Amino acid sequence: MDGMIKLTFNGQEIEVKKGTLLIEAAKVAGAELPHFCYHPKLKYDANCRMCIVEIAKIPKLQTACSTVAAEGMVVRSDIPRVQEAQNGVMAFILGNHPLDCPECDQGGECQLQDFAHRHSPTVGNFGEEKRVFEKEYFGPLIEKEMNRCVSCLRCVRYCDEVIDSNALGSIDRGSITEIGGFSHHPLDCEFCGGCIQICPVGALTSRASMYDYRTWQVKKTNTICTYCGDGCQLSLETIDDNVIRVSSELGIGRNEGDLCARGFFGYDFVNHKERLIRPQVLQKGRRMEVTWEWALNKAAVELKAIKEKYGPEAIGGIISSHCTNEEIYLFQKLMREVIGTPHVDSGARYGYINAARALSSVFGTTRLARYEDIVNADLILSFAGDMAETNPICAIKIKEAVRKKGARLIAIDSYNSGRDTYKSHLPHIAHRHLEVKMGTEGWVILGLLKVLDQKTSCGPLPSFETIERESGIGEAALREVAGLYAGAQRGVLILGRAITRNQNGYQNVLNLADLAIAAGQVGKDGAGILALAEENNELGAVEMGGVSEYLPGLIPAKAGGKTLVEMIDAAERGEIKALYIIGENPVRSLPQKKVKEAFQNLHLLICQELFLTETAELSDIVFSAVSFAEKDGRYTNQEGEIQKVRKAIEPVGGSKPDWMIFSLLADKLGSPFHYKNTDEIWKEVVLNMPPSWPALSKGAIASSVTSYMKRERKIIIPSDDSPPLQGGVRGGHLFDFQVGQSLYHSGKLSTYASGLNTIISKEAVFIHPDDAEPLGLVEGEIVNISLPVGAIQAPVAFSKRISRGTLFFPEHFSLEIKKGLPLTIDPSTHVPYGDRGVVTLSKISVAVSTKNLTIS
Amino acid sequence: MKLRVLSNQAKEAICAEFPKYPTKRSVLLPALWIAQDECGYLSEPAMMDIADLLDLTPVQVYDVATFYYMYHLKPVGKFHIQVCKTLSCGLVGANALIAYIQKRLEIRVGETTQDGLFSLKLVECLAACGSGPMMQINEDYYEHLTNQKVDQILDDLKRLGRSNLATSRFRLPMAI
Ligand code: SF4
Ligand code: SF4
Ligand code: SF4
Ligand code: FES
Ligand code: FES
Repeated sequence: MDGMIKLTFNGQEIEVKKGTLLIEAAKVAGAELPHFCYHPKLKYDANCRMCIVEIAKIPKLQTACSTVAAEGMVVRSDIPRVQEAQNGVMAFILGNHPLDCPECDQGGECQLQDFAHRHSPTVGNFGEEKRVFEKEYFGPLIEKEMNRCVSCLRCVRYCDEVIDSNALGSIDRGSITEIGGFSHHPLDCEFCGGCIQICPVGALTSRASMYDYRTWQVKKTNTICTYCGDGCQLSLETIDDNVIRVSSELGIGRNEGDLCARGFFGYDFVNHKERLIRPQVLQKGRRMEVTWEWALNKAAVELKAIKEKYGPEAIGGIISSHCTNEEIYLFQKLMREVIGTPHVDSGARYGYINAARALSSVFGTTRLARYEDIVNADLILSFAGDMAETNPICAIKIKEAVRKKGARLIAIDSYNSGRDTYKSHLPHIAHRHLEVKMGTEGWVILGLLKVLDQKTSCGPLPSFETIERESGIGEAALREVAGLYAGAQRGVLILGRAITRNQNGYQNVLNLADLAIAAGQVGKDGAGILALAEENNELGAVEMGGVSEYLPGLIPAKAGGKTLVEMIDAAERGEIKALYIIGENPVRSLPQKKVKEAFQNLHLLICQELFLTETAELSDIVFSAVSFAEKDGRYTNQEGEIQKVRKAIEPVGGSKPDWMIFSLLADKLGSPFHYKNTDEIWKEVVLNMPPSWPALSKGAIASSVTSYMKRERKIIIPSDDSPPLQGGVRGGHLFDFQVGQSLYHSGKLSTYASGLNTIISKEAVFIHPDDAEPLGLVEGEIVNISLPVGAIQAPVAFSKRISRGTLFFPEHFSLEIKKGLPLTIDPSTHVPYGDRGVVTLSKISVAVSTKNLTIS
Repeated sequence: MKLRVLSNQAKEAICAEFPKYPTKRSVLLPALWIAQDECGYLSEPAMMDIADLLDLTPVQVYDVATFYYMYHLKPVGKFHIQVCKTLSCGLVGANALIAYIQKRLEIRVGETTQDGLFSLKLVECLAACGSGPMMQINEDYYEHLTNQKVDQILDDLKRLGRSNLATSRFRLPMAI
């Protein structure tokens, strides 16, 4: 066969792909060669010498991990000569090992144990004293036991090659070599946990679960991370219904075994002591725990009464896009069919709907690019400067494409290309970075479109001068970038929250679709468009009919369904009398909207939650729901991959999965569903989907594009008066202000995870050091941020990633500041945009008590 | 970019090395030399400056700086004593000599005397294997050492700043 070669391994003739390393070829022959430094994810280093084999005609033994198999090679690992040499290497490695396996957290899953078992004589020849390192806490989350280290450098290489954090080094030399950080500073990195996982021994272990388990005591359940749309597969490791640890397996899942800090360290909200474990009702102003029977009856009786008195349309429902497909499907069925209201919406309304609606209206589907396309692209055009924070695993795919495979990354965003120490940053590795004024990506898209599509059917486009005035990007740069994109063999376009969650979002995605069509980067192999999802099941929420405009399968719903913001407005006006809210917290996420006041107008507010959130606190009835660890179902990631969520532990306390609560409620409302489990719901979902779902053929996409091009289209020029577009306001104390996501948290939920809280548990406002200097600011100093309405105090943190003239504020703690930011609503999709504004930063001389800074 | 401790001259000297190497990272060894020459040792801010100049992280600089004995991570004394600890010298009494120097200066390997005059470090072979035990103090070699000779050398250095017992100077290998 082409591209294959034949060789003989341990007397067996085998055939492998050209370029295969001998250590991999050995597996084909059924032999596992002992190894420490080799890891399929990393470039070979051949430093441990454990994998040596004999190759005929080469006098010395060779390392199999660094030797490429060649035609006709005759290789042996099963002869005494090789085995004695391997035993010798093992003796050296064990020469310094403390043999403390009984108290090592790696015991039972340790490569040293496994290989030592095979390769060491029972008696050692070393009489020398062993080196001794003190055990160390290596930063807040990692424990370092260097006596166990075999100096394979996998951790250092992973942190460099895969994560690009470069936080680890091999310090000193000889037998006192140890893995460490800079001097004796605590580790301050991306905390992906990758070094812990890739360490073959117990030299690096997690402090979050130190001495809590022996590996053989834990039950492993493969499931999908609940945080972002990257859709990583991970294993929840549990003992007696407690989540002890998270792990992932090399090459498995869309993440191929890589995780981010949220996935690896963000699990213990599951067993948090503040979890709601029983339903609660508000009775005469007092909140009390009640039985399910009581709470469900109360909900049913009151819903029925409201329906009878005011009609079904007085009831609305909002569901979190962290829920499973089955749950979202069932929720909209409950709302639409049992209750009979068209008012159904979900967290996808915060921005993802812009992408889902725009892309599917042009291409008939959102499934336009997969991670493999990113990795193999020769050009990536990214409108997501914060991707390493919002969607870290997708960012890893880009790093792989750029750093391993030589792809060119064009980054267009309002970030600085500088990076912070030990934090990767995509604009920093971009071939070309266009740093635009905050909120002006839309102009750049029009500029690129203008270059590529002169006879655009979309009507006149603004002049290059206008585009430059608005965005700061001139014609030459636009021509260069458009040329690179259109000239690519496999160009992948990626858009993040800068597009979907900000002004003109819907139109900007449509324009990007036009751009991709004009550049010829859709409908051909390896090219495509990927819209990043901030919450893990945003695409699922749209496809399952969890938005007002779509029934399941993206089938248009009858007009009249209210969106999230419209429901709040209707509640304020008294038109909506009851709201059923699952896992969403509008009181917190929309501080501009006076949501509290609107909700106080309701006759009935039902919440389904893990914790007593700001919204749940106002509710008449709170159903205690379960986390992803306690349920079965399916999530659909941003690529469109539908993946199984598996129950790892029994529901905490008396909580129940959302789908079960919907079924129980349907029973009480007199229209029982009769599902025994989530698989039965899923069967129904699949039967209800259009035949083209989930994947659309190339031909179907092409004909969808053709009909789109025939439609009358109009480019909407971003209007000048929408507040964040006045990106020119800079200098002095005036700053563009952006609320956004940090790597270490996801919404508010992750602030219940103690692991993540040890990294960041307080808010801070991020500023570029060069902007801070003229203001005389020192890091950690409390500053005043004021808006036309209101002000907050927060400490400043310096970051070279932040664009000059801009401040960044992570969205996970207090959101008081948002009250003063302007809120605009997308005219097409009703997405509320309220994360940007212009603020004044000033020094304050009085010290502010840090009390205000803890999680509110 | 603002430098923490390195002078602009040092920065220019480092940048002047760039064209000689394929990547910025390969300039690390010369950059460390230049910094050490200027500051006397490699302080944390000096290594951070180098990291910025070479587009590395500080730990990547530290990794290399700790690998080589000729880089000092702590301030060293006026006279930097480097005793060869490799095999040939070891066979003719390097260990006893090292013990003697420690006793005589009342410091341990890696330390500097209170008066800031002497610091003691062990190094690998300095290519004077035929005349061990030997040591290098600053740029000078001292060979065929005995305890008495060490006494004399240390006295000379303390009193005069130099010693006639020096046998030759350290030389970099040169291309022929
Ligand atoms: S970023 Fe931190 S946790 Fe991840 S591999 Fe590097 S040092 Fe380890
Ligand atoms: S800490 Fe683990 S991964 Fe890193 S060098 Fe040591 S043994 Fe290898
Ligand atoms: S938060 Fe996103 S990137 Fe991180 S592990 Fe979970 S799914 Fe993966
Ligand atoms: S695995 Fe081959 S040398 Fe380490
Ligand atoms: S062994 Fe001491 S100089 Fe070579």
